Amino acid sequence: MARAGSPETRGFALPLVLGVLALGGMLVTASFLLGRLESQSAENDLRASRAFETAETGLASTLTSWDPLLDTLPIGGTASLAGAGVATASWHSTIQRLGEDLFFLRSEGIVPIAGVTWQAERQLSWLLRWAAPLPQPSAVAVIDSVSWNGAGSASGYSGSSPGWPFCGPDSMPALRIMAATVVGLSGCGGPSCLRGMPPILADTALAGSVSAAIAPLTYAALAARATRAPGGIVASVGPTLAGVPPACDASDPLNWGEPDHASPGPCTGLMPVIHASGDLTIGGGRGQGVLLVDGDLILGGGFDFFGLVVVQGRLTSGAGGAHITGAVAARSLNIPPAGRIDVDYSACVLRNVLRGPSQVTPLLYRSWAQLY
Amino acid sequence: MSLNRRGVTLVEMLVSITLLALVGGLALQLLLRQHWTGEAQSQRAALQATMRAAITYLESELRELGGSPGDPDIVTFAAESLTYRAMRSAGIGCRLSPTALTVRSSDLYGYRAPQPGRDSLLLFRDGSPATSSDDQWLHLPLFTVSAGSCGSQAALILGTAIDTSVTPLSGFPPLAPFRTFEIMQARLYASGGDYWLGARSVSAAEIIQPLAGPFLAHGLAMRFLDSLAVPATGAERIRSVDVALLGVSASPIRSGAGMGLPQRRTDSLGTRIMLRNW
Repeated sequence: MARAGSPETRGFALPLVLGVLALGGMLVTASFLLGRLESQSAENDLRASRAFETAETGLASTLTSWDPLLDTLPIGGTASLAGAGVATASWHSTIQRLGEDLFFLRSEGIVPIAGVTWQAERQLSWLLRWAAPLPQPSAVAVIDSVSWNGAGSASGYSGSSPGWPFCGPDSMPALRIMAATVVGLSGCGGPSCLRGMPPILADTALAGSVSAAIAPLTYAALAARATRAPGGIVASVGPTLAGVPPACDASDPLNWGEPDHASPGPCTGLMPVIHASGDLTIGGGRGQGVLLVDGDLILGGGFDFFGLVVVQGRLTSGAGGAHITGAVAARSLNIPPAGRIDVDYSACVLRNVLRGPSQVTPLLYRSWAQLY
Repeated sequence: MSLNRRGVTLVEMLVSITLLALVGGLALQLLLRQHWTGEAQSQRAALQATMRAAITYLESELRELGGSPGDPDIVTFAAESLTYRAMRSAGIGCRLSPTALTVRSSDLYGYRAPQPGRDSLLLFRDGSPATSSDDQWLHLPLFTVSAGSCGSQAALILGTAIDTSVTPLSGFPPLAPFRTFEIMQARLYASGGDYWLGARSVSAAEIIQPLAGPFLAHGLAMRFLDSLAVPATGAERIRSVDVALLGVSASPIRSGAGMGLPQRRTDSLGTRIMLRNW
């Protein structure tokens, strides 16, 4: 019988089996590693896609829930927002004002990866601009009759107002009427009180409707955004402050904002839509925004208003006079011999006061960019 | 000779060799199957990864395209070839003169830094802020890129030339958005008996370089669709691109129950890419 451990009798089965097992193990391990590599590659693709979609969510969320406070950003100023995406993903957006009407919206989608310090990130951007349709290519639009027996003037030449942004000169008609509109200008010195290009324009687009005069805006859509509903007689309107430190009291129905932008105050950014469902008389004061009157409007006492005034009935200005910077549309205009009204067309004022009812939208061309 | 030192008989040796051959053959077959299966999986994974990479590249390059009336980003297009303006960077200029656009480094984003001679500029001009109808993207040359500052921050100065008699600087916003782009060509081409998706910079007069492959002959088919999803009749009308890929494995692989004869396997992938900037 052979002695255990004798070199002459040792076999090779064990090394052979071990070798085969090692080779098999290597193949299995290689297959496993390859599969894991593919799995990680696919997961990376998935994370990159999630980060991209999350950045898109940030763009869309910021745009659709546009905060009116962003309107007050100075040029070059920035604001930030953040939100959650699907699962653990999140987005962070930055809005920068580039110009009077131009914004740069940048959104970063972030997908954290468990167990590591790095994360999947994608950045996208949109260039945005105000899409405020401008109504009223004239200082005054009247449907039925103009009886200007008092003082004052109407100018279709858009100029700059202290503190308000200037958008460049415009040359619009001073008075836009229908062919059948009866015009009497005995009080203001005849056609010389109307300055514009041309001073008077017969416009078939008016089509017998005050609402047509403010197209493409609609009276109903503007009225739906009203935050003030005065009626009867309003002695005076003006900016009011409340609290410590003093802040603009937007809850005051007679606070129609501060139109004196040369001396900015807490109420400079308040530009309400005011809707009177019947006749309205305003004794005086100042304000800015959009003034809608379903009935007649009587102005007096040095009323100073920046914005759009739309009167479904008759507009009358009394002895105290009134000054409107922006535009006026009325069914008829009556300035009695002792009355006075001055209307200065301003596209910039109109654009600013209409921002509330309007929206920001991506630029028409090349607005979207991948920032990587 | 000692009685307790026995050798192996011929019969024992033959039996052991037969058993070893049997077990070895089975083990070898098992290992080969394992190898072929792994190889097949690897090839399939590589094939799918190739097609995913091709789609990812095309999506990344094409979805940012668009243009404006009379100025589309797609230059020429065919089923297997596309020449286009590839966006390379975007940013916000802090200062503009007739000969230079200055950009803070922190306001420059994108795939890579601007390269003079290779890239061109698209500079946004607002015209009158009161209307969007006169908005335009001016196509400008990029002559130089140098270091500078804007305020106290580091900046790049992009040398260009603006004809202010045609486009006065007053029409640009205080902070001017811009993009840089180069003309690129992506196409299917044959090399080494296979077909590859390749790309080259036309602006830099490069020769074509492979991006992904191999593909079958006609393994890239692009359809250019208008807003009604019917084939577009001109570059300006293209709103989306249907991409279909037919890939082939890099080498023959065995598959099936009997592992069969090795063959090159094929797979397909398709997508529709919407152009975001129309």
